[in-house]
Amino acid sequence: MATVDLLGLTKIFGSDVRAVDELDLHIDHGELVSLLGPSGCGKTTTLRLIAGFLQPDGGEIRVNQQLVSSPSVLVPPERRNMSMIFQSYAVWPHMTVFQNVAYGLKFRGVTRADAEKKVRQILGIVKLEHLADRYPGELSGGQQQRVALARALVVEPEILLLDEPLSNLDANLREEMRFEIRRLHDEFRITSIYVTHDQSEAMVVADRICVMNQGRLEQVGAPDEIYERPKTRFVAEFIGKTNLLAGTLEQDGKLTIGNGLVLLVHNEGKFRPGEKVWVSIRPHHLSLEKGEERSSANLNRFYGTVSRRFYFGDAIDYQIQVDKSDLVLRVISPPSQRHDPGKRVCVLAPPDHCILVGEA
Amino acid sequence: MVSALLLVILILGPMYFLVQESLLLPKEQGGGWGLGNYIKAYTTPLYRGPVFWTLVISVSVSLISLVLGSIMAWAVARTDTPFPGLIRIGTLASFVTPPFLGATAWVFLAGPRQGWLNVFYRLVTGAGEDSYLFNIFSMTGVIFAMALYIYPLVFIVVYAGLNNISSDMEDAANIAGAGTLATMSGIILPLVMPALFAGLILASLEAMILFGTPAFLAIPARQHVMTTQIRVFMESEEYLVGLASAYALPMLLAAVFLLWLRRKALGRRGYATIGGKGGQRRPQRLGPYRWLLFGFCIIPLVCSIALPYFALIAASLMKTQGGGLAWSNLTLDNYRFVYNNDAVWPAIWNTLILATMAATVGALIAALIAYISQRRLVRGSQYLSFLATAPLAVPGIVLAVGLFAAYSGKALVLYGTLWIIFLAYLTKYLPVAYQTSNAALMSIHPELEESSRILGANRLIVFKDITVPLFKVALVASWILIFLPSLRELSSSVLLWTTNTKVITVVILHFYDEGRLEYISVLGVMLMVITLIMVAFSHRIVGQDFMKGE
Repeated sequence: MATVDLLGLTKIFGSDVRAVDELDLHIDHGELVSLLGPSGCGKTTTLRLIAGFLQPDGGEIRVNQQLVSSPSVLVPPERRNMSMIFQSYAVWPHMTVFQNVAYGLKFRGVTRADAEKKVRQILGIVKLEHLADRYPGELSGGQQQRVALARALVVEPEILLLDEPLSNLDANLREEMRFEIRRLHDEFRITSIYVTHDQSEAMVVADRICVMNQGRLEQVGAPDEIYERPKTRFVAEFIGKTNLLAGTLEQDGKLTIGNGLVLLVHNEGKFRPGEKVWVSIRPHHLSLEKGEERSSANLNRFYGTVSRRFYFGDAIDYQIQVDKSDLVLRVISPPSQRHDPGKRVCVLAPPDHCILVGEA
Repeated sequence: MVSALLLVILILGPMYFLVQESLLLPKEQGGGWGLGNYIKAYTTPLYRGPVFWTLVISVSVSLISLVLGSIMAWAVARTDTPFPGLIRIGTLASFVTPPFLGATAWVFLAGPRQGWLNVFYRLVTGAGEDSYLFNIFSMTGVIFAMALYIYPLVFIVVYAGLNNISSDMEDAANIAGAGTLATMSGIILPLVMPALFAGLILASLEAMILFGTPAFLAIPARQHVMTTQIRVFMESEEYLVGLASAYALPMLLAAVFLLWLRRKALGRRGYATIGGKGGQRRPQRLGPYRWLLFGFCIIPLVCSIALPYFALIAASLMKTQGGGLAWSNLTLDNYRFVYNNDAVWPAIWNTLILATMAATVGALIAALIAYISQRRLVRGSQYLSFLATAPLAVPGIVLAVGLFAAYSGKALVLYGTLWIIFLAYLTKYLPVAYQTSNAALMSIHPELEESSRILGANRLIVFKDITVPLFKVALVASWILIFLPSLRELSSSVLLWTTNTKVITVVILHFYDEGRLEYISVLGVMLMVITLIMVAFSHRIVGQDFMKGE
């Protein structure tokens, strides 16, 4: 087990592409942290910096407080006691499953008998014992993925790096392997860094999610925190679906959106009255009520018409055209209650779920 | 660095001296620099004929090849023509047959007097002694015998192009309302156009630079082409290297231009190979016409494979060519003669040494350059890969003139040794080996090496454990791709040999000059047996390819 510290980590490609830009992050013993972001955000570069395949142009990387990477120091990958799982699996096609998994042990002075035992044991854990003598060419994608997992775990690394490990698998297998990776982490408690662009994958797998954008960290936090309390507009839009509305913050803490629409919002005091801000409301936090009847308080209520409806089995996805504005709200509600297209409805937005995410 | 130096010795040096020699005037004209060689080469009536005929041959051979190759490729790739495997294998067999062997065989078959087909013709029609059906010693004969072994180039390119067009494309056109004919002309033809064009260009280039067939068939018809004329220049008493260079350089430029054109045609790759993945192909049903098409496809195969090999094997076993296939006319004397011939064994020995050396050194250099340029280990590595593929544009005979100009009578004298022939083979076949290595390396994902490093291996161990084992197959393949053609290399060897450095093809050429065609057939049969064994061997290696899961 180990801690990892990124201090002002910077990597510049070419003359001025700041792929990783002054990154600061502390990862604790046995923690599984996910680097999440769109392609080109610098997450894979960060991982390769940690692995030692790249040298930083600024800042440093420390493992257990020991300096391993800086512009002047670079401990080579083979001396970092890390394991890595690659997007392409990188299972060696000229070795059997057994040889693949045993490979890393020969650099760790493990005796032949011990190695055999360890490999058998780990193959059991990833449920591949019966395929030990096969060549990777004879395995399915999911099985190759398990070989890569076993090969990475058998050497008992201090740190496990995963680079989009599931992106080459089909949807069903991907879902299964998410749980598998989390199960293995719970079992071995290896400090892990998991790069992905798939937010639901990050949610299932990670203890903490680091949302990256353009080489910088947008927000770091537990999955529910990232999802329920996004700090920036980028995070709100990238993680899950959301409704983004622009408004002006009033003295009394309410938000006016225009056309007489006023919202009570959740404000952690970051924004001051008079500021134009974005508010994010998740579609499934909104609820629908039938009818025209205007109650006395119009706070956090939008009146409008159902313009479209999509049935998903476990939920219904509505688009509501708000009266006297070009605002269209997306609402996801349980299928028990139905509102037909063209019908008038009232949309309720609970104040606690109206999150301010930045200046408009 | 070493490989850069080597490429300079192999390519830039010879090309530099080629230009120099072409501009250097002979002593009797007062020496000095000038365009005298060019003026003489292209205005003297005697020297203009070869240029003219080279153009005629190049154009006609490429057009015939285009028709044969593309129709056969279409038949195999997209229709229900019977025995597609036979047509494909047969075409590949013509591809690996040395054209000079084919030419020799056709002398047996269609020599005006003794050619078996002509004898048969006289027998059937009762025509007189001097009449014949077909005279192979004519420009028509040259074009015919060349096209037989050049059309596979078109076939291979077009076949690949057609294979990349999925039937979904045709279906989409059909759904949109296009009939079979409209689909062919509106969809398939435009999609395969770059491949057709590329095939045409390759064929015309090959026809331009071929030495063996015109040497065997055009010279008896008292006509030179550029390649054979270059040899005359080089072997003349007056030492006309300048004229040879003036002939060779425009050939080189033409080759460069043609390859540039081809690259342009294939350049828009996404267009040429669209929808290659996942799309399935259904053969088009031709009904009774399938047999007609099959008949069309089988004719080139009969002419390039069946008849020639039959002729070669038969001729190698006959006492006299006129004696026919009677028991009394069969003998092993020809084999015995070749076996006991003083010239043959040293030549075989030289050939094997050269081919082995060129293949070993070439495969290693090709692998090294591919590795360096792909993993960008040094600055300017892209120039390395350019230089490694540059010889593709250098015709063998041009290369030989260049090597001769560079390494005889200059600082480094290699002429008269095996080294100069070794350099010729190495240069000529380096591009194929390089491309093989490059393609193989490309399929070795860098992550395969990185995953070894992160588990504790340093660069050297990674190379030993991962890179080399994964690369082995390509290394063997490129070795064979240099070794096999080196065994039968003619157009460079013919200018570079000396008494002590004869190779097997030079011996064959000499047998031809002496009119001992039966000995050529013996050597030809041996050559093809070796080739077949090597091809089968390489097929087995590549067949065991464990990277199929990649």
